[in-house]
Amino acid sequence: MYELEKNNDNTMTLNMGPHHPSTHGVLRFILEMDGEIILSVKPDVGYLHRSIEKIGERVTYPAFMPYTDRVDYVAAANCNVGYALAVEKLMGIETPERAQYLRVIVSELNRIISHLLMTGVLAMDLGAYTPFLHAVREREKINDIFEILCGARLTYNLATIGGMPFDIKETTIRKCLEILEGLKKFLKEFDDLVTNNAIFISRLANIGVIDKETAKAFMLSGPNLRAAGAHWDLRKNETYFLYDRFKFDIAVGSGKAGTLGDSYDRFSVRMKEIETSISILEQAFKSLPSGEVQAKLPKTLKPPKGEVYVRTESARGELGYYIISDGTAKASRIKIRTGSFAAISILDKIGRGLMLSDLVAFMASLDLIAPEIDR
Amino acid sequence: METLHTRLQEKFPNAQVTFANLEAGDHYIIVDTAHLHSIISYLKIDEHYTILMCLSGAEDSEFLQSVYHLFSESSRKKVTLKVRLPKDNPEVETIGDLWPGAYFFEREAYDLFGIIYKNHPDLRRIMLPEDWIGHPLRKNYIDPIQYQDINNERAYPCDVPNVTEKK
Repeated sequence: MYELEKNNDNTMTLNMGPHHPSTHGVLRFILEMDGEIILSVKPDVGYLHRSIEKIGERVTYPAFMPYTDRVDYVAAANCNVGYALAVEKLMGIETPERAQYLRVIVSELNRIISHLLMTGVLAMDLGAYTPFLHAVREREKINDIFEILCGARLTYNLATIGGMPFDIKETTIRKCLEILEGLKKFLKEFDDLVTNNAIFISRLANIGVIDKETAKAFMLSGPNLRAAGAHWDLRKNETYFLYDRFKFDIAVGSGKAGTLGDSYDRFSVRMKEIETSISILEQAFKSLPSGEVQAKLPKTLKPPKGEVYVRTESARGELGYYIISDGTAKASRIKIRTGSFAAISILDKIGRGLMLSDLVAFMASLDLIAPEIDR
Repeated sequence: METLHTRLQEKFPNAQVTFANLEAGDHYIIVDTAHLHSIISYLKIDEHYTILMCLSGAEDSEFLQSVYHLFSESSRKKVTLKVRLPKDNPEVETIGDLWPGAYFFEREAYDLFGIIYKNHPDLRRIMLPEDWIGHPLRKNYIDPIQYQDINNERAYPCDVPNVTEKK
């Protein structure tokens, strides 16, 4: 797993990855070390490059939907609805109200799944295996809901351009509310087990501190930016779907364990966001309007000439689709801007001076997903 | 955005600043390559477009493009800037000194489009191997037949070896 190379000046080059358990996918770091202190981090990405953007130029607009699943397999629903929103904005399509509610519901369910996995894996990276199993147990229950809704458990392909391909039944809503109640109990249990655990706090507090200005300069977004103290959530500040109808607070880092913007803040922002998502889901189920879920569209979609950059709040930050249309049934260019790709470039800046074991904690707190970096 | 365009024209009288209005979607401003860095730093410092949302490469019929999506937190406005670069010599100044995060996005545009960002400290391929030939997102790119002795071609796509035929 490790390749050691002795340099002339008493430093050492250490090869972390590409198959390392804590890199969350196939991701490689070339570390220059002085003993156990890191002197520089060189991320080597691209092992999972599948040229999704090139595929986007070769298939029609609706046919690209399954590929967006593979951009971020942990939060696939967020990628689906984000792409659908971008194409709808390009074509000027009005999506029915119920479909927008359904999109809010699947986005929030998926955000819970993603954050549960992140918090579990973070604990696992620090050496505690039990919280991971607890988190994945809860995650499986929500995966069941997705299986009822669209038939798949991981890569959903659950949005169509102009609406949603399925409707939600009353029994599913009841089951969902039951699971959310259980999830609230689980969060309390998780707090006792992990969040307030002294060892856990001391491993994360004051490690990898990112201040607000640095976070913006390195184009961080989403929970990583909010943990640095920025009141910025696209769901609230740049409302899309019908997020303006729901009441929720933006989870912001508080620095309660150490410094503002440290790894513990990034963890606790995600724990708070699970609670926010639960509250949004309960409001959405309560006020779910009736009606159609799919807008009437022509058989072949040909957006007019033009271009659009649409960003949505994915579980890993800003997910932007930049689509250039040349007036044909296939896009001229689809660029996908992901949160993880922006986050990878900050590793060298913040990672310098950390111990090797702290780099693992720092990396896990950024919530990197390798396929989202490489696309 | 049209008023921003006129302000830019007044501020940079020597630069060619063109406003483009398309049938659908966002409008954008095309600026000339020599003034790109000074215009973007003017936008960041004086107009408070403090967030770089996205940096990407693109291609239209004659030119390669480097596209910058900026966002202002104070006024909640977005602006899209484009530079058009000739295909045989696509060179433009890096903006990594304004947003260090842009270095990685520029590496991606270099890898997939071949756009060369001047003064970039580490302009290497990022997605593809170092010895890859060509830039895949260009329209005239031809898929390679083989890479490092691994053949990419099959006689017929449905030919799968060792499958017994049904009788």
